[in-house]
Amino acid sequence: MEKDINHILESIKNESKNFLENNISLQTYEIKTFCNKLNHHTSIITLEDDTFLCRVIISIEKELFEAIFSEFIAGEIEESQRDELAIDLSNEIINIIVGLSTRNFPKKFSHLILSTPLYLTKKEVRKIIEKKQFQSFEIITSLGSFNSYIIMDKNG
Amino acid sequence: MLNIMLVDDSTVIKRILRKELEAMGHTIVVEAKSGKEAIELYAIYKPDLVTMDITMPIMDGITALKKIRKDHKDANIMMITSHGEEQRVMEAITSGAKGYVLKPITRVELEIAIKKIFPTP
Repeated sequence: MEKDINHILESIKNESKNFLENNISLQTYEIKTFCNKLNHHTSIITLEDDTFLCRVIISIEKELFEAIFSEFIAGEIEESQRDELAIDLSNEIINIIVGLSTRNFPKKFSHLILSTPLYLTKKEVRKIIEKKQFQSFEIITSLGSFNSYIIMDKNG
Repeated sequence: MLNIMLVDDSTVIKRILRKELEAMGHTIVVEAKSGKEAIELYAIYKPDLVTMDITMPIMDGITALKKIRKDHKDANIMMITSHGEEQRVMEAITSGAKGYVLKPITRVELEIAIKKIFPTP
């Protein structure tokens, strides 16, 4: 189980770094192997098959998120649309990163299904993480931190 | 140039698709945010091409694809999907989807996928 979660964590870490460096053209300075900080924009996605269930959370600091927002959302935006777009974008980021990561998962996880991502409040995230074992990492960039938590719920 | 319908529950993805497709000279005739809405709007607008998300609330993209193709045998539907959904993409292709584009969406990938459906003579 620990080997599996480490493999999943490594894949997500690598794709997160690639995403920040290649899609947003940001330099990543440091990757910490543990974090317990929740950032401004947080989404969750579930990876599941008959015997395995794992939840991935990605949490992005405000300034960093704004940079990603500017990169993805071109053109004029009505102020009333901004929150909806931010939620959508946070969910798309986790969908893209975790989706890309699955290419490098162990073969036994080739039938995992990705859920629809959900945007969460800090309170909701704390409730999910509370009393659960999780692995995490934090990528530091010049614009703030990018954090991820991987929680294993079921393993056959 | 093509008249295109975008079907996606994500406003972000629809904005990215609109920007890239319009830059390629195509026209977005209508947008839908669920499979159910797509079926209704397809019958009204009869677009040359539909970009269809797979995972959507109310009705997913594969169900909508099957329903549209049942009533409109010549419908050109291209799936927009994430890595990790390859099994569902295969189901879409066997159900009549003409191609697919994986996220993150790029103009190059869109051009390649559209050229496969509409090869220039």
